[in-house]
Parts: sequence; C-alpha cells; structure tokens
Amino acid sequence: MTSKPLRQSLGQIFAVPALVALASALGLAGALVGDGIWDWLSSICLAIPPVIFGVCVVRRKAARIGKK
Amino acid sequence: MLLLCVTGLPLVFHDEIDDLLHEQVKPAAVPEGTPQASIDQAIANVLARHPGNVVHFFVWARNDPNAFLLSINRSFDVDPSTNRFVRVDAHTAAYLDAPDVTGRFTYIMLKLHTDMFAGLPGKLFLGLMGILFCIAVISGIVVYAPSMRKLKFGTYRQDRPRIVRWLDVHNLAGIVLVIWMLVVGFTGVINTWADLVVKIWQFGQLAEMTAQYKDKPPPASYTSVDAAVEAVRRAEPDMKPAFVAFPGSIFSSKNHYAVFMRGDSPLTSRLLKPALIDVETGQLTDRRALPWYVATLLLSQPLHFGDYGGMPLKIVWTVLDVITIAVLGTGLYLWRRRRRARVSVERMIAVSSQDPRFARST
Repeated sequence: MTSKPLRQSLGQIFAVPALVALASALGLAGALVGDGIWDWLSSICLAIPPVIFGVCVVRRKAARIGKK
Repeated sequence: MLLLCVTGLPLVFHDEIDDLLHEQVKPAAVPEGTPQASIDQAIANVLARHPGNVVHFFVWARNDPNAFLLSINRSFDVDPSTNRFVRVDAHTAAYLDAPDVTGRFTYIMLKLHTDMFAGLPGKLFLGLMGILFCIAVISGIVVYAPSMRKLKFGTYRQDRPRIVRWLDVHNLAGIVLVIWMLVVGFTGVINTWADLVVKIWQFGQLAEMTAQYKDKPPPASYTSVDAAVEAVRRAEPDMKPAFVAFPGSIFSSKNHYAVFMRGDSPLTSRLLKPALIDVETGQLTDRRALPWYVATLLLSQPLHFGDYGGMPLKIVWTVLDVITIAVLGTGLYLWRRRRRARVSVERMIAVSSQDPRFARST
C-alpha cells in the first residue's frame, strides 16, 4: 500500500465520481433526444461506469497473481 | 430491491424473449410503401372472430409497423387491465392471433416487478421501496466521503479479508453507478403512480374536454374510425397516430373517438396529444397536449425500461443492473456483519488489520 498517509479533501474524493456521474447523465439523456449516432454515444457514456468498476477490480486481481 | 433487480433483468429483453419463446403469426410481407389497411375493416374482422366483444383501444404498435393491436373485452364495465390483445395485419387487415400473454415468463416477471400480483397496493408498496432505495443511494454518497478519505478512487484491497474487499466493491460500484441507480430508481417510483396519474387526467383534463357532452345520450350512430383518424391527421400534419380510445373506454367519453397523436422526433414520439372526434358528426371537438404530470410519466418510462437506444443500450442496461445487484448484495452483507458484531465496519477493518486471525480468512 501507499507509504505516505493520504488525506484527501472532499474535492479530491469526489473528482472522479463527479466526472463519471456527468458521463452517465449525458448517456441517459442522449438516447432520448436523438437516434442513430446518439444511441451509440449514449451506450458508450453509460458503459463508462461498469468499465471503470471492472478495470479497478481486475487490475488488483491481476497484480496479486503477478506477485505470486 | 433484490427482487426488483432480478425480475427487471429479463424485462429489459422482453421483446426478444417473447419472440424466442412464443410463436406468433407473421404479418404478410409487403413491399415498402404499401398503404395501411382500413381500421374499420380491421375492427370488423376482429369482432367477427370474437363476437360479443367491444373494442377498447386500437393501437399502432411502436415496435412492429406491420401489425395493429386491438385491445378488446366483453364490455366497457370491466377492469381494462383484463383486456385481451388481438393482432391484425396492418396492410391486409387480416386477423393474425390473440395470444394469451398471462402465462408467459415475461408476464410473470412483469407482474412480480410492478405489483407482486397485488394490484394498486402492491404497486404503491413497491413505489415506497423505490423511494427508500433512492434515500439509501443518497445516504451512500454521504458516507462515501469519510470512508474514502485515506483511499484513492478505485481502491480494491485484494489482500484483505472479505469484509474489506466487499466494502471496496460496494463503495466503488455504488459511486460509479450513482446517477444510473437514482434515475432508474426514481423513474420506477414515478411508474408506480401511473394509475393515479391517469385517474387525475381522466377527472381533470378529459372531463373538461368532454364537459359539454356530459348529459348527452349515448350516440345513435357511429361514423367511420378511418375518417376520424384522417380528420386528426389533417389537423396535426406533423404527428402520427399512436392509438384510438373508443367511446366508453377509460380514455374517452361515451360520445368520442379519442385519437392520441405522438410526435415524430425521438423525444416528442414519447409524448401524446389527444384529439376528440364526435362519433355522430365526425367533427373534431377538442385537442390539447397532455398536462405536465402525464408528460413526466411518459418520459420517465423509457428512462426506466432502457428500451430507447437499441440493442447496445439494452446490453449496457443489463450490465448496470447486474452491478446494482452486487451493490445490494455486498451492502446487505456489510450491514449484517455490523449488526452481528455490534461495531462499525470501520472498526472491524481496523481490528482485522492488527489481528492476524482476521487476515484473509476466506
């Protein structure tokens, strides 16, 4: 783990979640206002949260297997 | 909430599942641009096959331009949720089939998802659960801050005991899905109020629109439905008909065909505008956009169903739903562990990092 003690401000804690929230909101609204390309953009925006979740969990698992 | 997430999962793909599990009579293949069949003819064909029935609604199916749907029942005094759907070929007016949907897998899932087979009380109960879910999500945001003060975003402590790993999964999945969970949760709550919203519209705007007909006797003769729809099309050239409510049904008066029009852009196609046609004279008597509370309900439906962006969006919707199940599952586990130990999760984590017995117990 990190050696230096970490102490984040509210801004630091919520910086990434806020961006993810913005992407999800755009994704939810996008497909409602347009068709075709909008549907794809929406799906991509809404796919960001699951991808981040998957990457964070899988990366740690892979790192652990690598250490063994 | 777990029940709602699990039953909601197959409902995202209900069209595809129905196609896979149930044979349907296919409408005739016709070249593009073939004009649509006469509505009056379609109604006559249906009533010939189902004598003694009345037509409540005539629907242009959104997901199948080759078929008309007719909602029929024994009379107008029955609960319209028991209506039967009949499919008619949209180009030849030929009778297709009247599938009994009540035994279907998707129907059972839908009932469990919307009212648990308990009617309006069931719906309102699930709506209350939805409100509690939204509150839980918001409280999750609040406790996310102190929990993450010493951790970087996306931390997953793989080497620690299950309680720490699951806390990390819960925090990470919860915070990245927060907007989606709130939107789907809250639009679901709005959907549970649908019956009430429709009642308010019926006794409000619809009653106003038909006020001058209140004391009139039932009509002596009926003009053509095709002509009625044509009259409304002329009045609203930029809109398409969505459905017709027949005189006596819950969306009309005794003396009107109510033709509900929808817009032709992705957004306006979700909104409806009823136009009333006097069934004796065929004259258009009134048309008004639906009030904001019905518009809100109509717009909240796609946001809850996830059916408004084609197949890619449906797949993303499914993934998001599965992760939500994980958030609920880990949340339940963390809550039970804390109750059993009567100490906070933070405290248990602090203890587990000092006590070697707790280190990676699973």
